[in-house]
Amino acid sequence: MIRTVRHIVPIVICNLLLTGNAAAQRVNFGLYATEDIVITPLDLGELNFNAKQMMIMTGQTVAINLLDESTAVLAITGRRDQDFTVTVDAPVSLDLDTLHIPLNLRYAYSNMGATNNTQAKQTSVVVPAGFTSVTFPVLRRASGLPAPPPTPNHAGYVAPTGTVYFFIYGILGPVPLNAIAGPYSGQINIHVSYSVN
Amino acid sequence: MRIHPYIFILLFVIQPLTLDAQRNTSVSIKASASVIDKSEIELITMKNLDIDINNAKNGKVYISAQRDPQAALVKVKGKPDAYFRMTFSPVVVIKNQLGKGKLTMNYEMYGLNIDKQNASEPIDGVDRRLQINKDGWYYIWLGGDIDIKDAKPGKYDGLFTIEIEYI
Repeated sequence: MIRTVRHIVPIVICNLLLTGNAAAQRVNFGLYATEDIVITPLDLGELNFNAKQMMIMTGQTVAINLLDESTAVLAITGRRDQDFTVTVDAPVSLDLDTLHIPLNLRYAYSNMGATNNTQAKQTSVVVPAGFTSVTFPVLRRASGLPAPPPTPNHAGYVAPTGTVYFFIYGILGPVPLNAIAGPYSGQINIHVSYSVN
Repeated sequence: MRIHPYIFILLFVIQPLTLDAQRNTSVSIKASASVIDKSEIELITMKNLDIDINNAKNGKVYISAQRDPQAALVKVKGKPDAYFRMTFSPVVVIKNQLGKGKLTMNYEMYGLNIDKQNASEPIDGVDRRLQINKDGWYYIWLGGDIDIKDAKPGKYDGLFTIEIEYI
């Protein structure tokens, strides 16, 4: 008599789709990351030296000061329990073809929880000259013990956000005597990330 | 009884934690400046607009650009004998420096290439050709209707924009 023994074989299929899912998650993560910090240029979103001095001529120097209306302002919103690192990549001159006008920018930030940029200017902290990167808390902590560590992300959790104001201003010139008339321009790139401790 | 060994292959996918450190975003803003050549044009304010509230009628003060000594005088220095065209914004609202109150200016502008206000001509048409004198000067007088109904006492700094184009 032939005895049949039945074996039950559990088979787990580990297919390669898993890798695909992982890639998709990575993309989503990236989207989340981009949406997390929001930079909004206020007013016209530019630093226009003609707004300070309508007629700029050769030999002149034009200074936009922090408290001037022509200062460029960015509102940066992000998680309130984090630190921002703001890095500015700016040209050293405004250019028209091969002609250059020296540009010396300064920066300031306000993380005191101001609700508008006028109020923010009054409480701003000036970044020392020569520095192009600065790290500061999104919301300046009051004195006392350090704040508790940030709450980790989890489903259904919406981290409280805060807005800081970042100001860009500075000195243009002196406009070289051989500068021809025309529009001079340059692009200032501002990168913001959470500080990684 | 025989036991058959089965080998299972399990794949684990570990999320790269370093992504967390890449959370950042960027924005660009433009820095700009338009430079004009000194030899091209220069505006020199010789006299400011002098508004005397005592002359107000129905909440308005009128200063004639052609006749009143209270009119502002601006000298244009440019290329001798050159022809040019001039446009300006006729209505401008000027706020008090302290933020309370405003003046509504309805400008009128007269001009001539000699310093003789009474003989000056109205500059209102966009296509009007004007000529700088042989010494490189042109004279502009500014006046107009000033609505002071919403004005409070104080200092007002106004920006008056004139666009000049050589033709």
